[in-house]
Amino acid sequence: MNAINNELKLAEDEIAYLRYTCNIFFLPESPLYVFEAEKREPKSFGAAHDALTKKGLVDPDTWRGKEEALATLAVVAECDARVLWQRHMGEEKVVRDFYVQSGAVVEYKRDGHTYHFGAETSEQDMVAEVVRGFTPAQHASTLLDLVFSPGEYLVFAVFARDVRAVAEPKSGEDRMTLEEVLACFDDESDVPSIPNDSDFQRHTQTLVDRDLLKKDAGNNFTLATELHAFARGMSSETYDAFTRYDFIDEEWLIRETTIYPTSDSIYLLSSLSDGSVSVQELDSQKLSEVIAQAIATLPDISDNPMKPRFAKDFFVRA
Amino acid sequence: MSSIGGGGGRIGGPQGPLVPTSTPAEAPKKAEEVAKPPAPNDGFERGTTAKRAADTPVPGPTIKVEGDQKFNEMLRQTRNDPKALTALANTLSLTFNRFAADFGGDKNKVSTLLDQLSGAKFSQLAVEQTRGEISSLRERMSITKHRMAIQKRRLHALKQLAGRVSDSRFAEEMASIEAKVELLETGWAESFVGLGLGKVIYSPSHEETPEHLKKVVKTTISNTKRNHDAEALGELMSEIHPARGVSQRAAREIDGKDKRVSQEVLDQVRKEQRGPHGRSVQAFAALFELFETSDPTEE
Repeated sequence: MNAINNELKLAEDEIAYLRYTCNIFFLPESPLYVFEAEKREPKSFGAAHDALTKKGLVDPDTWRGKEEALATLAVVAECDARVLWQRHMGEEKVVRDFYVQSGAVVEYKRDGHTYHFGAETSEQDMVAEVVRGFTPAQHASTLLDLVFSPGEYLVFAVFARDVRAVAEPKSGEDRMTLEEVLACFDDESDVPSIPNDSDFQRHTQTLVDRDLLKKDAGNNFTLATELHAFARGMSSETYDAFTRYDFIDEEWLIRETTIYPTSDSIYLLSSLSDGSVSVQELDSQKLSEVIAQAIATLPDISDNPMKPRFAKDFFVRA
Repeated sequence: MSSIGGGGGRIGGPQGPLVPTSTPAEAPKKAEEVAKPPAPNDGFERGTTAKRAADTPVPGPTIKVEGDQKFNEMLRQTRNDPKALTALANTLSLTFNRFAADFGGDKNKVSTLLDQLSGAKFSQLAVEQTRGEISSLRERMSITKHRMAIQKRRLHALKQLAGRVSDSRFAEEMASIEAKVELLETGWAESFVGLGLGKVIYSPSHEETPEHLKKVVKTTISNTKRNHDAEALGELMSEIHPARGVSQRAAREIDGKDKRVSQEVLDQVRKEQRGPHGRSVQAFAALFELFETSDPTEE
């Protein structure tokens, strides 16, 4: 996650000057809206004029802002959407903040009294930059793509933890009997609608039927080998969270996507609208698709709502 | 156990156009139909009936439902009705053009004043002499600009959603989620409920909901204009988004790590449960506290 490229730095008085000269207007969702709300004016019009002239943003004779040069600032001030990219690495968190207006994207950061604006780019470029920040799986033919009910996922997680507990697995070392599995769950059978042991037996059998668990002659269960890399690589402390806000008025449309990079792959863990849990391994193509659908402008569907939409459709207006 | 109530007021903004209902004269309804309205079957209908449901005292936490449903009404009208969508789109475009003309007129007026100012090199005297008029014009232009943006955004959203996304159900479902979790005593059982939250985070799943819209959460956010805190609120919403909560829970079930919630986030979450930004944020905050203040990996 690099620093902002080709950034424009503005001081508070410079933004206040551009507000006063009606070159820039600020919508309530903009991080700069405080300038409008507080009706800020520069302490010295002359000093702000000189500073902005040196930056090529203001015409020295007319004292007015140059519209083209102010386009990047206008994207943030009059934003229609925002994309937050947060990379978590244990205690460390790196945040990148992008504002979007009509397909144009500008990265924004505030550092004390200085406001940083990246070069204007397209949503397609923003997606490409995000994708470049990852090393996707290279083995496209064996990508994981699994959907679990919550109960199945809990059983699956027991076996995944068991695999993690074995540093260098040898045959048979990471197997569990059904009794050991069930011991991981307290019996709450007296509480209605809460799964009990028989539910977990059923979930275990379902995972066996799906070849995600292997059952040996001694009724021991082991996690299927192809799931070991996922089980070992996952860390809840290393992840990238993307949130896109599309502002309307009081309504915000929000998309949230969290992906987990491991040493040799990337996984998307998500909740589905039917209440199930999805685990998807992403190669570069799938990663691009997921990121585009997560952070680019929603496509118009009014012409044909039922037609499936893909990443390319998210860039139509860009 | 958290308890949420209250809700925010309406921020400024124009009344959007609504397409007049074009249904033919209806036959007189039977008495039982009037007495027993059909139960809501999706977020749109739930939104319009939620107030009635809230009139009846129910045990547990309650969330106040904002009265303003105008954009929901627009979305509802355009679902499966391309003519309504076209009519609304035309109305929004016309309104946008009218605002744009107003804005252009004011821009010309302010331009004359700014020319005077630049001629005087923005001297203090010149600034003082024109401040009142410029401020007044600027304020009007700012409001018009906001109105233009709303018309444009609504137009886009109508075409993007085509009536397929309604308000998330989790605000209405909070009481039952909390009640269910309260019954549970074990970490795994809490996880069982937490992992299945997609059912209430997202719009009711219909066959006609396109795949790419299934994970779009529509929320109502109040008071960011008054508080000018949209930036900070956005960051908090990202942290406490229930979809991230589910994803993190799923990951923690695998690695067994403890969750880490900063005191700063917890303080903000508790503040939001008092409802300064409305029911959607309240519900985000309530769900976050419900599931993130205990550790599901502890047995």
